[in-house]
Amino acid sequence: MKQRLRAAALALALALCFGLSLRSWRQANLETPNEALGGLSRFAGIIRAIPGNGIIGYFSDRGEAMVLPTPPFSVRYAFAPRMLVWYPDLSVSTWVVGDFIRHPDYLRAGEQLGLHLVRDFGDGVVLYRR
Amino acid sequence: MACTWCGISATGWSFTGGEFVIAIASLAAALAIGFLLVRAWMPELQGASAILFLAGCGAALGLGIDSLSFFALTVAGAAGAWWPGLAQALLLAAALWLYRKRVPHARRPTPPPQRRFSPAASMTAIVLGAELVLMLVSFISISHVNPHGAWDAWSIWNLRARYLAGGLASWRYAVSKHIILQHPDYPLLTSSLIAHAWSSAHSIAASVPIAVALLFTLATVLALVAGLVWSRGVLPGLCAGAMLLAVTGWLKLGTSQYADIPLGFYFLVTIALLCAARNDARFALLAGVMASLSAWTKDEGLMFTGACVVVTMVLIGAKPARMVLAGALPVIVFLVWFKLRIAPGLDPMWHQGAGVMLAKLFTGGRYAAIAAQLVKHTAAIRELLILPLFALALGFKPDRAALACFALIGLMLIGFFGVYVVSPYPLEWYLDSSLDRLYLQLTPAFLFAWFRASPGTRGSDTIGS
Repeated sequence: MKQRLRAAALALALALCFGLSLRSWRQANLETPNEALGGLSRFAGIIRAIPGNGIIGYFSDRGEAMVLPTPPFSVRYAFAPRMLVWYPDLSVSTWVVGDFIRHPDYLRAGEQLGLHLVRDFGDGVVLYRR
Repeated sequence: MACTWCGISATGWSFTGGEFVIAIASLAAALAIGFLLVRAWMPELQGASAILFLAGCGAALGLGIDSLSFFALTVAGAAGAWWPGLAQALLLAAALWLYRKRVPHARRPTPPPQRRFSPAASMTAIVLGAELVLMLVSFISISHVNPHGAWDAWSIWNLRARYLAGGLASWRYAVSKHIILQHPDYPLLTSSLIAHAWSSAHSIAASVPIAVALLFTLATVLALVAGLVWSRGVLPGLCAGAMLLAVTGWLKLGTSQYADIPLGFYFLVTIALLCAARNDARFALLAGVMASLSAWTKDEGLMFTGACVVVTMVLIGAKPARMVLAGALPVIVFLVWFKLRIAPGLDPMWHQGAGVMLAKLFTGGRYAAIAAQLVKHTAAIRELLILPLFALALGFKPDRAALACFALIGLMLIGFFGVYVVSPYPLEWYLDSSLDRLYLQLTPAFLFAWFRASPGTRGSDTIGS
């Protein structure tokens, strides 16, 4: 009797384990892309156009970037191993990335900070030179 | 103005064929070095489960050595493709020489006679196998959607790996004040390991962190199952593996590419080795090494190393405790150098001042808030309800070693509580964003302790035999 009880407990425990694994597998199919991929695809063009390392300036009209001010983590990841630093507070770089969501006059926005527009990559991504 | 190698594969997650082989070879060499060293350290151990357990320990040691040596070479100015490669080749040759010297042909293990599994063990093996398949499918599925991992992976660990892989021009960014919000003072085991494979392959394809995450996840399952089969018998080992794979958050954390799964792996191998340390000081020394590697993985590991020494001293013995300390010392010295010289004063904990910390210590409301969250989060772990069923099936009678494991886990929980009390971060946010992960770090070690408490069935399974 005791032996049967133990066997039943084991069978039930294993069934529950398998059921939970099945649930995890179902949840895995509901995974949605996070913002890391968005950053990489948005900046793919400009990343190919700038040096592969060193410090790069960055400024933006994104709300979260203005508050801190620091490049958003996903943008910083997209540019690594280059180091993105907020311009003009910290930057000693020749190259400065403009990241806009309101699409202002890019030329004027750069000139206000003493920057020359080099290239517009579309979607609010702009490369400036100091 | 063309981009150099470091941006080539930045948006993809696959290599070209040659790059893939080089990256995998770098990781495989690290695993081989670890296994050969551990095997040479304990040449007389025999049997499939013992060898598989040593393979798990070897993986932990080899990946740790690889990470430490790559970071040390990078800081020394010897970064780049061939210096770390040369160092790895020399280490591999030395490990192979040591292995051949210590494990001569005559003493190499002979396979033990085949034993038939009991019906219970067979049934458990089938369930574990099915769960492993589901885990692998889930892992591939999630990694396909998010190849760069979840938030902390790309904002902390893989970001810093990219800086380290950039070599002399960029490694300092990984410990720079520019990324103060991304914890530049955190230890670098996973980041440095990934950086070495990337640096070898001259590409930063996302498949490397995915492979490293999968490696640590599978190594944890292997070490848990093999460690228990070796010390307690087939059935407890297989049941522990089935239970671990059923813990929903644990698998998700594995696919997230966070450092919590590697940390949990080091916790697990440390306590598994400690259980065998009473009668053999070599296990204690190796346990010390593993504990210190957990400290090179995440800050929680430092507290774990201290707790290991205390628990070993009180429950296992003074000599094993000295051996644990001796094993841990080299990496701890390295870590102190890292914290004081490479990334000094960057932890917000120490910026808040002694007065503020003291005030928090005497604020009763903080204790109540933390205790309430602990109870809430513990009650939410529904998987715990399965454990009494396993206890009913296998029995539950903790020996001194299992008690030491539980004591170690208990000390860690007390330590976590203390860190929350004096934390500089908003308490509610900090608890919500970290408590579940702290539990999951301890899950493999806790399951080892739980199933270690099954009365010894080594060599036979009593259910249904």
